[in-house]
Amino acid sequence: MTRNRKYNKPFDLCHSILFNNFPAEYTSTIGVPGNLLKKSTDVFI
Amino acid sequence: MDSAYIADPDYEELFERAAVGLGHQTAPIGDLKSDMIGKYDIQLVVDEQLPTLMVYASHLNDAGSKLKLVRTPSDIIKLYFLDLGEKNISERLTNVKRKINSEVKLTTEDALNLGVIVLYSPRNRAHEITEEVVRLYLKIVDDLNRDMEYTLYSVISILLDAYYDDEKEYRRIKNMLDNKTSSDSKCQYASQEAMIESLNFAKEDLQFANEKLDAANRELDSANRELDSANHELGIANEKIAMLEAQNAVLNDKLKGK
Repeated sequence: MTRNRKYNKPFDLCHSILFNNFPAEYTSTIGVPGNLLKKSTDVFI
Repeated sequence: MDSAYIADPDYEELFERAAVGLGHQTAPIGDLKSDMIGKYDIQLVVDEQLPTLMVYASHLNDAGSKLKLVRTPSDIIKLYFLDLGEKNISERLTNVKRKINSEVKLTTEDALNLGVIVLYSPRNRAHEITEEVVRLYLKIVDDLNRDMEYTLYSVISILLDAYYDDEKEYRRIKNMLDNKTSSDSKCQYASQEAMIESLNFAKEDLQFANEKLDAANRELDSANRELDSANHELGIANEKIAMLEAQNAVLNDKLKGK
C-alpha cells in the first residue's frame, strides 16, 4: 500500500526553504556564482 | 524527478523566488515527461551541437510564471557549463563524507551540500543516498547552528515524504532523523508544516468556491438564454398584435367610410 503524501510539490518547497534561509550560500553551493550570473546576462544584452 | 536543478540565471526576473531546473534531456519525451512539462514551465532548447537542454522554472506563482520565463536560447546554453548532474552528486557526497569522517570543521556550504545532495539525487538511487545523508546528518547535528539544523531537517523531512512509498521504511528513517534533532527545530518545522497545510486547505476552499461560482454563472447564463428566447417570442407576439391592430384600423376606417 502506498503512503499518503503530505506535500504536492516537495522539490519546489525544498528550494524555497534552502534559498530563503541561505540565499547566497545556497546559490554558491549549487554552483552559480554571482559574477558569472552578471557576465552571462551582460553578454546577451 | 530525475533531472538536476540549478539556480536561475536571470536574476532580475526570477532569482528571488524561483529556481530553474536545467537537465540533459537524453530520453525522448514520453507521456510522463510531457505531463511534467505541463506542470512546470519548461522551455526546450534544441542545439545540434549539444544535448537537448531542458529548463524549467519552479515555484513561481501561477500567474507570473508564463510571462516571466521568456528568454533567449543563448542564455540557456550559456549555463550549460554550470551542469549539475548525477556524477556531481556522488562527488559532493564523497567530499562531504570525507570531511565529516575526518572531523574537519564544516563550512556552511558543506552543510548545505547535505540538503542539495538529497534534493538532486537521481530518482533510482534516492533511497540509498537519502539514508546515507541522514546518517551523516546524525553525526554532525550537534555541531550545527539552529538555522542550519532547521533547514536541513525540513528539507530531508519533506524529501523523505517524496521519496518513500512504504510507510514502514519512511517511519524508520524519519525516526532516525527525529531522534537526534533538537525540539526547537522540530517545533519550528511543525508550525511551518501546519501553515502549509492551512494554505493547501485555503486553496481547496477557493477552488470549491470557484466551482460554485462557475455553476451559478452557468445557471445564470441558461436563465439569460431562456429570457432571451421568451423576449423573442414576446417580440413576435407584439408584432402580430401590431399587425392585427393595423388591420383593425383599416377595417374601422372602412366601416366609418360606409
